[in-house]
Parts: sequence; C-alpha cells; structure tokens
Amino acid sequence: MRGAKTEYAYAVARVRALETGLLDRSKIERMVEAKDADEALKVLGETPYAPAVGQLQSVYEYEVILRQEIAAVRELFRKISPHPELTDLFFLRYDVLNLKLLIKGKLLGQEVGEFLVPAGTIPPEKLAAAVANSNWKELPSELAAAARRAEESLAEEADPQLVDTLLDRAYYAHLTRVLGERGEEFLRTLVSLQVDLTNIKTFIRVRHVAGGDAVRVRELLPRFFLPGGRLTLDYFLAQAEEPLTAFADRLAKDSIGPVVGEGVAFWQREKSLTRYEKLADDFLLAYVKKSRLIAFGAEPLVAYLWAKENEIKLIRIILVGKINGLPAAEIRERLRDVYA
Amino acid sequence: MSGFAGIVIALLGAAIAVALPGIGSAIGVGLVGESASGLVTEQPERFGQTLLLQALPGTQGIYGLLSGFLIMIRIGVFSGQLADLTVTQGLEIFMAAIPIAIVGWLSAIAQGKTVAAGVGLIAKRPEDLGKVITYGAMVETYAVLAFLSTLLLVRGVAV
Repeated sequence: MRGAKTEYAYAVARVRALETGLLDRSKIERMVEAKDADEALKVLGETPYAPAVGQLQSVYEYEVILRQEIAAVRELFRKISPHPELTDLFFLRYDVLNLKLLIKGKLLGQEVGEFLVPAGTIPPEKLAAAVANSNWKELPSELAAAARRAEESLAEEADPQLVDTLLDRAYYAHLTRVLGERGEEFLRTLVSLQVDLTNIKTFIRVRHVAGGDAVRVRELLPRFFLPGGRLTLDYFLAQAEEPLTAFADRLAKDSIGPVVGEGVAFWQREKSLTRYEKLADDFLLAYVKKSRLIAFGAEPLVAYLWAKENEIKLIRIILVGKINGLPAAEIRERLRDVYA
Repeated sequence: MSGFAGIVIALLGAAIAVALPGIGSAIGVGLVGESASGLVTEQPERFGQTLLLQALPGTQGIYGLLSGFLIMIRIGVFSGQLADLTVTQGLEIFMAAIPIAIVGWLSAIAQGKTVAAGVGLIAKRPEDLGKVITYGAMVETYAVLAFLSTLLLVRGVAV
C-alpha cells in the first residue's frame, strides 16, 4: 500500500471509462468484412470516431483523423495526469518522427511540412523553426546531441538512414534513463522489451543483408543497435556465426521466446518479417494489458495510449487493405490483437 | 491536582477518538471522490453508483464520533459536572480510545484506496458494483472490530 500513487485516482478512473470506447473485436471484424473502403469507413462512423469521420471528404483522408486522435489523447493527458511530463515521454516518439523528416528535408532542400504529425510534445511549426535554425534547446539532452550529430554527419555523407538510427538511439536512451530515474519499473520493462524485440528484428535483417558473413554482421549491427534492452550488443555479436534457429532456441525460455521462435520459423520459410512484427506487437500489447492490475499510477494512462495506437494501426491496416482491394482473409492475417 | 490531570487525559482520549478516524475518513472519501469524478466525467449517469461507493470509507468517522460521545458521557461532559478522575482512570479512558483512533484512521484510508480502485472496475462493468462494495466491506470489518473493543473498554472503566 505504501507508495501508492493515489494522485492518479481521477486520471485512472477517467481512462478506464474511456477504454470502454475502444473498438472491440466485432467492430474490427465488421470493418474487415466490409465490401470496400467506404463501407469500412461507415462502420468506423458508428464508433466514437463518428465526429471525425463525419468531417472527412473522402476515405483517402483517413490519415488525418488518425493523427488527430493521438494528438487528442495527449491533450487529455496534459489535462488529467498529475505528471504529464511522464506520459509525454511516450509522445516524444512523434517528435522524433518529425525531427527525422525535418532534418532530412532540410539537407535535401525539401518541404516536409505536410507529413509532420501534430501528436508530439513540441508543435510541428516550432520544431520546424528549431531545425531551420539548428537550435536544439527545446529538446531533451540526448535528442539534442543526436540531432546535432545527425546534421553534421549528413553534411559529410548523405546517408538518411544514419539520421534515423542516431535519433532512435537517442530516444530510447532518453526514455530508459528517465524511466529508470523515476523508478517506473513497469514502463521501463515495457520499453526494454520493445527495444529487445526491435533489436532482434534488426539482427535478422542485418544477417540477411550480410549474407552469412559474420564479420559484416559485427560491423553493421552496432550501427543500428538500440540501447535500453535487456539483451546487450555483445549478446547478439557472440551469436553472429550461429544459425538463427540456435539463437531462437537460446531465447526459448524467455518471455519473448515464443515470439522469436515462431517469428524466426516464419522468416526462414517466407523471408518475411510480417509474422514476427505481428507477434511482437501482440506480445507488447499483452504486457501492457497487465496494467489493469495497477490501480494508481501512470501505467494505465500509457496503456490507454498504447491501446489507442494499436487501434489506429488496425484501422490503418484495414483501410489501406480495402483501398488496395486486398481480400478480407489477407487483411485479417496482418491484424493485431485488440486491447478491449 | 490529580483530578485535573485525570480529566485532561480522558478528554484527550475523546479528542483522538473523534479526530483520527475523522481524518482517515476524509482522506478515504476524498480519494473515492477523485476516482468517481474521473468516471462521471465520461459517464455522467454513473453518479448514483459512485456516490454509494464514496460513502463507504465515511463510516470510520462516524464510529469515531460515537466513541468520542460515549467517553464524554462517561466523564460527565454533558451533565455539566466533569468527573473527578485519577490519573490512572484518565489513562484507562485514553487507552480505551486507542483502538478506534488508530484502526479507524488507517482503515478508512485503506478502504478509500480499495474502493477507488473499484471505481475503475465498475467503469468497465457496471454490474460489478456489488463486488466492489464487498471488497470495501472486508476492510470495514476491522474498523467495526476496533469500534467494538473501544465500546467495551469505555464501559469497563470504573469512573
């Protein structure tokens, strides 16, 4: 009972009430079964998305409402959370997204304004101005340093991939540091699991690119490796020579074991990571669902954001599938679990 | 002189019997109120259910007040003639107040947390109101036991 964060009482109850408005399996299923994109959108119009759907001119503008939805969640958390700076860590992802676009756009001399997502902690216009002037004061220290380095390195060699990796690594370093400092164990574990799953995906890709050349793997992996996971870089490098199945077997007893086992098996059959990505997303969602046992704290808020992002991913998969005329079975294969 | 010290200690007993459970109840009721506001913001029709829950941690304050009254009756506060107590008698009354003072105070806070968490439960499943009340009632048991022991102790002191 000691240390219960009862200051979250209002926010948690409100979020639990909002969770009842999340789309359930049957709604998602009806969207999948819809005969075309317009009909799928109509189903979405019967849910709490109704007001936003009503404003759309055509189904092709769906991305606008999905972006607004995340921005609305942040607005809500700013109002109800006793520590909005904590939940903001999870919206910082969108700042990183914008930052990548802006830095690359600046060096390539391209206008990227229309692609920016307004869901981050810094308004896109302000971030754009900051990038234009190379003024990183508004950013957390890790990200500021990474942005500076990204710009410098881009000026030397035009490798846009490097900007992404530098910023992603800084983001996870920042996230793990702050969550660790604040003793947010549940959220810290969530992030480290996410990092592990991403690093494993990178490991599989790098091995594929290197074509069985272990030296090349050892050279490439450190460039893309994200910090903050439970599995260290050395852990991966030590297994650069072993077959992937041995790597998966070694993780079999770990909580992410089933994801890696099945994901790797699918990868070896089909040379596709879609199955792994779906399983990884479902695994993280299942972990996030455990926040239901936490009565007071930031965890249920982050879980709601996670659920909302997952829901948006589902809607996007369905609508993109429908717009491109994919059969329902194929769309269903890509779908993630639902939170509700 | 001894009469003066005795009555002061007994009055102090009456004071903590009322004050501590009152503080606990205020914290508990307040916490459930915060949770309830969160739910009612999104679902205004749930006011009735949440009001019922909010009242649960309030009982400790009532037990405390009753215990305080009982002590005041025993030591003659209402008859206008304060009893002439020895220090031992005063301490006995003070000790009698301790169960409800401490258990009432802390159990009200614990009950508040239990019920506030339950508000999150009924946000999803309104039909589970009964379960939340039951969880709250489990905590109530210990406040009732403490109240009972204070009652018996106050009656047992020879004034």
